[in-house]
Amino acid sequence: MMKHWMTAQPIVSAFVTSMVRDFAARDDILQEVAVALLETFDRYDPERPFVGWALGVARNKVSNYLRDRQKTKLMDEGTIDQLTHAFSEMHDTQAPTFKFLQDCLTHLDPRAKKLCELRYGLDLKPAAIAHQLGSSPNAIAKNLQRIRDQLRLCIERKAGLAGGSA
Amino acid sequence: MNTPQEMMHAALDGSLSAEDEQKFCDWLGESPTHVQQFAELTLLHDQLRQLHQAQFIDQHSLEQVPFDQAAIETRSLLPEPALLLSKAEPIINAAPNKARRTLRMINVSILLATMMLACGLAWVGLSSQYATAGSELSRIMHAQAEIHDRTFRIRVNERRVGGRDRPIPNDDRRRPPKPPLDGAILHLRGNRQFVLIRQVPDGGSFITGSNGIESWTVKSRGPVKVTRDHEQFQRDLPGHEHGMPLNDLNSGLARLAKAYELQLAPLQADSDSANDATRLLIAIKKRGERGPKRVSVTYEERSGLIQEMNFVDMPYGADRLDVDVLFVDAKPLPPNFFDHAAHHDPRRLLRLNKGSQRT
Repeated sequence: MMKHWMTAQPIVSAFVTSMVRDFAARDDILQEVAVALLETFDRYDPERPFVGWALGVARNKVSNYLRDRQKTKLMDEGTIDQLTHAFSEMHDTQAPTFKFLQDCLTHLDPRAKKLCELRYGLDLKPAAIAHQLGSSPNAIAKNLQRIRDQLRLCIERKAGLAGGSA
Repeated sequence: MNTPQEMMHAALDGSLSAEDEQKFCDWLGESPTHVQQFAELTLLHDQLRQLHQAQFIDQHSLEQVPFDQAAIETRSLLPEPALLLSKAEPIINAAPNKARRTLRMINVSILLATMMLACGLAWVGLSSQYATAGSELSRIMHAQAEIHDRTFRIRVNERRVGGRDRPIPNDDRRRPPKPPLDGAILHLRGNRQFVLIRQVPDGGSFITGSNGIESWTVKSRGPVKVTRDHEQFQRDLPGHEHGMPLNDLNSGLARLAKAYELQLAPLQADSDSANDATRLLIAIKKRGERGPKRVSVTYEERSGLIQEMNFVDMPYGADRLDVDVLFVDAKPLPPNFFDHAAHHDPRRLLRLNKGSQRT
């Protein structure tokens, strides 16, 4: 169970984030998913991909979370189906690239690193970061977008090189 | 918002207005390609968060800076007195009674397995003496399993500094001196939950424990250290090096069945009451096996409950101890007693320790 979960956790975590967009909520839900998987592991069919099963559990937990807090779903069921499928497919192709991310982060300029720390280390939204740095929320949002694009390209490049040399 | 790209990023940053959110969801529903793009970007976004949380914890880990300094730095970085755990990676144990129940079931399964092993060994015993001692050991294990909470006092009779027969791991070399074990109070629940309370020379207490899912340590000053590695602070208890941790009596007893020659001493009866009669089980380590040289278990003849255990030449970090574990009582402890929160002011700073990525 633990081995399966360690492999699937990044994908499940990202799936939950895509549905709730809030890291604190994601943490709560992911915790419940882990517990639910542990409790029902005897029902898991090893002939089927674990990540698909875990995503199904996560989807239910997100629904419960939103229902309990009387929040409406951001997406319709059809889009959620597609999202579940997309994350399931990414398990084999995208998740391994995580190992390149750390290296790519080291190549960011100091201000970009600072922005990442504020956004991801401290969970600050662009408006709060702007307030702290004396900038505008729009400028911070654009900077974050640029940083993520830069990191994505860096990861793709490293993945390509690794694939080519393999 | 102008482009779908901008909308995706804004969605992840929580910056979309309700109107833009609707536009974004409409755009997502238009094509699986859009969903794919959003999923890929979300994965990066989520991984960035995981990585920074881990780095943030590492940078402020108390392994690298003194307690008080870490507390000051953290307070200056966080918008409010930091409940870092609430923002950090999910901790399976914060949840849940369900998880605890499940883990309890796992514990019970492991216990049953070890009991079967002990029983099996008893049946296979070559001598009647061993068979009797093995059966008694099995009965002792069974009796321990039926008690929910137990409290013991630890008495150190002798400590031989550096009396170690193998190189000290680097991790152990870097660790600060352990607080005194003599006089410590050890509370146990099940096989994995424990609270060890040691008094330190300055008059304060040093409390370590585990609720079976996370382990933690509470000093009289400085932040509360918490790790998702439920075994990390088990090192504060002697015996963990050789599979005989004091917080897991049944594992220790099962190891006696496997690696020790067992002898049962004659029945000892107290003068007051036959009900208080105790028996002594002596275990001598077999050649080539690791662990304390000798373990004595004094238990109630009637119930099988352990009254006292004596460990001779017990490994404890770099040292060897002769240590007694004395039964105090089996009063039920509060349900949350093995959570760190039961042992400190709720306003105390929590620090999630590094290297604790287990779920």
